Amino acid sequence: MKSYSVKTGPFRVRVGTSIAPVIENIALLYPGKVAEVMDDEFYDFHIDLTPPRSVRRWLKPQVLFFFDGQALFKPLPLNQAYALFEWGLNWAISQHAHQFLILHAAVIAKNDRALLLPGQPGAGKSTLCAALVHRGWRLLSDELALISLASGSITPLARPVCLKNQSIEVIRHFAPDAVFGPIVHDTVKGSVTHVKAPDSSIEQVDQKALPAWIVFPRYQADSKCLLSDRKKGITFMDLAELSFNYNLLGLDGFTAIDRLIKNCRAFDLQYSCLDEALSTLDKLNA
Amino acid sequence: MSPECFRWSWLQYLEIEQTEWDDGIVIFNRLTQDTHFLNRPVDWILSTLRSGAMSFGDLHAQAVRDTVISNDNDSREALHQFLLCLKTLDFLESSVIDYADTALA
Repeated sequence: MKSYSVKTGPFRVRVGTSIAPVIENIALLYPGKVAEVMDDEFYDFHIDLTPPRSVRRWLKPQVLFFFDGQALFKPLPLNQAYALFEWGLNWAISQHAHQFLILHAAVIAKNDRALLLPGQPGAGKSTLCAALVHRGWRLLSDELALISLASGSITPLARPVCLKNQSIEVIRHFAPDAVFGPIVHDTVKGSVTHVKAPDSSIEQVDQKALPAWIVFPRYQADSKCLLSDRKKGITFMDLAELSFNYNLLGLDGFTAIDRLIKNCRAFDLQYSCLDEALSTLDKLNA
Repeated sequence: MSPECFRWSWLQYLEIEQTEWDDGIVIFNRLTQDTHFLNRPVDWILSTLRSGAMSFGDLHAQAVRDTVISNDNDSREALHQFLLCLKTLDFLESSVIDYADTALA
């Protein structure tokens, strides 16, 4: 098994695997961020992806995710190995990076002013995020908003955007130049693929942004695009609910959300047409 | 027992942080580490009892004077329910008024 160093945002990850598609996809979707492992280098996370050691590997090949040498999740079919790397890395960051308030939100920015798209799975935030970053917005994160407890700024991750089911074709059509990883079918989330962050977002991955807008998206088929003001008290509680570590951070988490909301305008966005949604969100930055 | 039998006060060692918004108050309870989203009457109760314990009767009278609630049975019952809720959330505690002590005082 070979080990690789993957740099993503503020984190350096050591990935050990003998599964060729995993490292091929990492090289495709994290361009310039993969290197040989250096013995004297510090790694935030140690991840291994390997097939289980049983006869099953010959009949129905599977993959296991190891974190610090411990197998954490049930094995998945081998063709889901790259997706498992992405999901496992989300887990590793959300469970350990407590120097940040971590929200379940996509984050994009223009002129270093960040727009947060929080929401539960299925709200349409990744689709909207993928569309926006292919129309001039900078990708900070598709899944995890990393908010500094000290300053309130957002640290970029610029990892690939995860798309599911119908969203895959929607973005293929919307952004024909986007770089896609392979599509994997029959995962627990349905059909899944990952889209590479635009080069400009990867180049600016060390450039933090200050939050300016919080928009809760909701995809509603055949609806008009509607952006409406959101009450801030309920927004506070919704963000606390969507945080991975609010309860763990205690008063620091309360203070971080309080500052975030005081510095942002908050909205609900209902949309069905991406072009209309983009035009509406572009006006926020006008 | 009737609500009038109780005196209400902040829970001992209670410390809170709060932030006010147009649609209500978000309060962080340092004692329990829980966060709550409360409406204005509940905020008024906490603010009023912060300066000292009060009997239900006195609290009700002041709430009416401050136009937090109207002077009717439904509002009186609502005030009682708010107090019980704040007790459940570890903000307040209640004690039975000892009328013998009150009379002596």
